[in-house]
Amino acid sequence: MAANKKLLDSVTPLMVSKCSFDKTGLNFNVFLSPDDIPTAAKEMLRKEYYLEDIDAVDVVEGFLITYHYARFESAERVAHRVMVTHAEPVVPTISDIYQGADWHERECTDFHAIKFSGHPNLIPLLLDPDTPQGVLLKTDKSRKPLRDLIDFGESVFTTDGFTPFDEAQADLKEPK
Amino acid sequence: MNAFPEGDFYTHHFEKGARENTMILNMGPQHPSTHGVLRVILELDGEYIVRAEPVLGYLHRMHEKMAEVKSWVQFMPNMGRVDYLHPLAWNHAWVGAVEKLAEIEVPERAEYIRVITSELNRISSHLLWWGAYLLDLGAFTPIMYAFDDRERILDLMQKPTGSRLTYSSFRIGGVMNDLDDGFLKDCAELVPYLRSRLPMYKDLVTENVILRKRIEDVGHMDKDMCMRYGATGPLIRGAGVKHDTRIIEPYSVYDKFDWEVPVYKEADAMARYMVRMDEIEQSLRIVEQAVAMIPDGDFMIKKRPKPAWKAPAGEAYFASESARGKVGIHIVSDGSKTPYRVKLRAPGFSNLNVFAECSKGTMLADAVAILGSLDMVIPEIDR
Amino acid sequence: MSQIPVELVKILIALVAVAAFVGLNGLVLVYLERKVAGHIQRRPGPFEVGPHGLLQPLADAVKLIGKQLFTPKNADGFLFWLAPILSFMPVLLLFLPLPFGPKLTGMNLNLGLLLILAFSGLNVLATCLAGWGSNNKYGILGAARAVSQSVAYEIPLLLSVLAIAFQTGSLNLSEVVAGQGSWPWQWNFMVQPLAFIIFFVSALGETNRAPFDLAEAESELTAGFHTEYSGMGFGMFFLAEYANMIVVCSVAVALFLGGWNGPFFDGAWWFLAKVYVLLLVMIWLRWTFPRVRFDQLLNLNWKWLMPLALLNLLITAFVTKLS
Repeated sequence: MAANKKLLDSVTPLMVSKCSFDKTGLNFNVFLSPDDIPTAAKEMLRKEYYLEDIDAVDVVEGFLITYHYARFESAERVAHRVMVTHAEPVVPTISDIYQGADWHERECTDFHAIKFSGHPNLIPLLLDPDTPQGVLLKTDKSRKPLRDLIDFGESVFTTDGFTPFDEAQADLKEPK
Repeated sequence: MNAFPEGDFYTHHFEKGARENTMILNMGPQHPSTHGVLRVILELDGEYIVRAEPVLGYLHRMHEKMAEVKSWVQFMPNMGRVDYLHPLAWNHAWVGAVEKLAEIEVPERAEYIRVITSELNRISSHLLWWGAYLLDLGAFTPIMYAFDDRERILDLMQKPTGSRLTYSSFRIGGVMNDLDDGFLKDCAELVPYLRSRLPMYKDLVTENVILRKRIEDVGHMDKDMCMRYGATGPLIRGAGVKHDTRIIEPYSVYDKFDWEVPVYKEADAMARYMVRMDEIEQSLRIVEQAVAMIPDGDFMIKKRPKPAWKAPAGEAYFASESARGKVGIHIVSDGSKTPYRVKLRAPGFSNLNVFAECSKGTMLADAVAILGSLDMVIPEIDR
Repeated sequence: MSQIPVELVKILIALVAVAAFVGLNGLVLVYLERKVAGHIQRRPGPFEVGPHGLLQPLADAVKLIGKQLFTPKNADGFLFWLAPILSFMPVLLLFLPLPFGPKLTGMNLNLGLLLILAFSGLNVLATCLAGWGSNNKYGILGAARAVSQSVAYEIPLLLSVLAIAFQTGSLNLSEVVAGQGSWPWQWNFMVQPLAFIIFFVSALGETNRAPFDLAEAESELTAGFHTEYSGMGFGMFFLAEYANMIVVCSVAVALFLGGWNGPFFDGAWWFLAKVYVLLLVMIWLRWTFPRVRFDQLLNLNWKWLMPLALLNLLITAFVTKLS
C-alpha cells in the first residue's frame, strides 16, 4: 500500500492526502474527478471495502461529496471525495456497484438536490414526494469556503495544478 | 389487474415494474410486524415475493438540519431520539466526534461510566428485539419475559441517566451524573441475575423446533452482500466476519476488557439471532468487569462546554457500535457555535437496504422473519 | 297441539339449550384464555371488572355488541355479512349429537359423528367468504390459507376418526362412549394412541389455533380473513372459534377419553372436566409456541399425519378383521 502513493490502481486520483486517524477518524483522503468515481468504487469493492455512507457538504465552491469506505476486519477508513459545482451537481451513480449506495444517493438528492446520473430509481426517499429537493442547501450568505472548514491533511500525491480549494469552480461571484 | 385504483406516488411507481398476474401488497406503515412506521410494498405471486421495496420517511425528522441550527451542546438530546432502543451508542458517537474535533481528553471514570451504561443499554435493546422478534414469529409470551428483565435494567439505568428510554446523559467531556456506590452495587447484583435468565431463554425459545424451522436457512446475507450494502452489526457477524467497532476501531475503554465478539458462519436469520443472544452474555461480561475496575476521579472535564461553546473548525468522523451496527457521525465545523454539517450514518439504514434483495423469492412469512432479524428501529432509519 | 311433532319440539329445546351452552362456555373460555395467558406471561390477566376480572368477558361482549356494524367501502355487503353468520350457525348444530351424559344428548343419532364432520366443513366456506367478501388483500390471503389448510387437515382428522369407527363398529357417539369403561386404561386412547395424537393435531389445524393459526396470522396478515371485521361481525367469528374448540375437544373426549365415563361417578361432569383439560392444553400451546410457516404446515400434514393416519387405519382394519 505504501508503495502506491496513488492508493488506486485503476484511476489516477487528483490528490491523495494522509491524515491522522485519531484526529479525524480517516486514514486517507482521495480526491477524484466525478467521472472516475464508479471505476474507483469497483476497485474498492474488489479490495473488500464496504461503503459506509455518502455525504454532501454545501460550500462556496460547490458540493463536496464524500464517499466513506471502510474495511470489516481492520481499522481503515478512506474517503473518496469529489467536488461538483452548484450549477451542475451531477455525479455518476455507483448503485450498480455498491447496491447500498442506492439509498445513500437518493438521500443526497433529497437533501442537496444532487443528481446521480444513471441511477435507476432516483425518487424521494426520506422526504415527501411533493417536498422540493434540497432542504439542506445553504444560502449564499451562510456558505463557507472549503479551506475554512476542512484540513485534508498532508498530501502524498497531487496531480499537477490541482488544489482541493479550486477557486475556478467557485460560482459565488456569478450572481452579482 | 389492479382492483384498487387508489394508491400514492410510491405505489404507482412500484406498479410500473409489476409482472402479469401478481398482487401488489402494501405492508405498512401500520402493520404489526413492521415495528413502527416502516412501509414495504410487495409484489406477490401467491405467497411468494417477487419484488419488495421499502418506503421510508414516515418518521423523518431531519436531525441533520436540526444539528445545523442548534449549538454543539444543545444537539445532545437529539441523539437520544435517533435510535430510541440504543440511544447511548449515538450519544457516544456524537460526543466522540466532537471530542475528536476539539481534542478534548475525557476523564477515565467518565469513559467507564459511558461503557457501563451503554452496555446495559445494549442488553435492554437486545432483550426488546428478542421479544418483538418472537412476537413476529407468532410466539406471544417471550416478549413479556423480555420486558420483565428489561424493566430491571431500566429501573437501574434511570438513576444515573435520568430517563428510561431516550437517554441523552453523555456530555461533551464526560457524562451528566456520576455513578454512586448504590448503583454499582445494584449493577453487580443485576449481572448474575440476568445471566441466570439466559438458560431459561434458551430452553424456552432457542431450542424450540418450530422456531428453528422458521429461521434456519432463511434470509441468507453473506459477506459479499453485506459489503455491497454496507450492512454491519449482527448481520455481518452472523455472516462469519469478526467485525465489531468496539474491537476493530477501539474507542473509549473497550480495549481494557476481556470479552469476545460472537461470530456465526451460517449467515441466516438463526445466526443473527444467536449473535444477539451471545452479545447479551458478552455485554454482561463487560459490565461486570467495568463495575469492578471503575477508577475514582472526575466524571466531567473541569472546563465543561457551555451552550455557546465553539468547536474548532475542521472535520471529524467517529464510529461507535450500537446494538444494530456501526453508527457513524461525520462532522464538519466552521468554528462557530453550531456545526456546519452533520451527517448521521445509521446502521439500520444500510441493514434494511439488504431486505429487498434478500426477500426475493421467499414467502410472506419468511419476509417477516427476515425483517425481524434485521432489528430495525424506524426512527434511526429515517432520522 | 297434536300437529306439532314431539321431535321438533325436542330439537328446538335442544337448540336453545345448546345456544345457551355455547354462549356460557364462550364466556368462560374467554375468561380462561385471558387468565391462563396472563399467568403464562407472568402477569395477573384481567383484574378490574368484577372480582379477579370475572366479569371481563361480559364487558367484552357488551363492547362488541355495542359497536357499529361497519361495511368497508368496496366490500360485497351480502357475502361480508353472510360469512360471520355462516361461521356461527352450523356450530350450534354440531352440539346436537354430542353425548354429554348417559341421557344428556341433544339428538341421539346413528350417524352423529358423520353429522359433526359434515357440518364442521361449512366453517371453511365462511372463512373463505369473509376473506373474499371484505375485498381486502390480507383477507384474501388469509382465506386462501384457511381453505388449503382446512381441506388438508380434514383428511387425517377423518382417517383418525374412522379408525375408532372401525374398532367400535358405530358412528353413534353415545354408543362409542358407552363402549368404554370408567377407568383411563379402558378408554380408547389406550388402544389408539396414534389416532388420538393425529386427531388432536389435526383439530388444532382445523380450528385455526396456534401454532397453526395461519389464516389470521397477525404478524403477517394483520388479522387474515377477519381483518375488516369489527364489533359483532368479529364477535361471531370469535365465538365460532371457541365453539369449534369445544366441539373438537368434546369429540376427542367422546371418541378417545371415555366421554362421561370416569372413576367413581359417571356423568356429565367427567365429560366437561375432560373437555376443559383438552381446552387448557390448546390454550397452553397457543401461548407457548411460535407459528409455523405455511409450507411447513402443509408438509406436516401431507408427509406425516396423512401416511400415519392411513397406516393406523390399515392396522386397525386388519386387527378388527382378525378378532
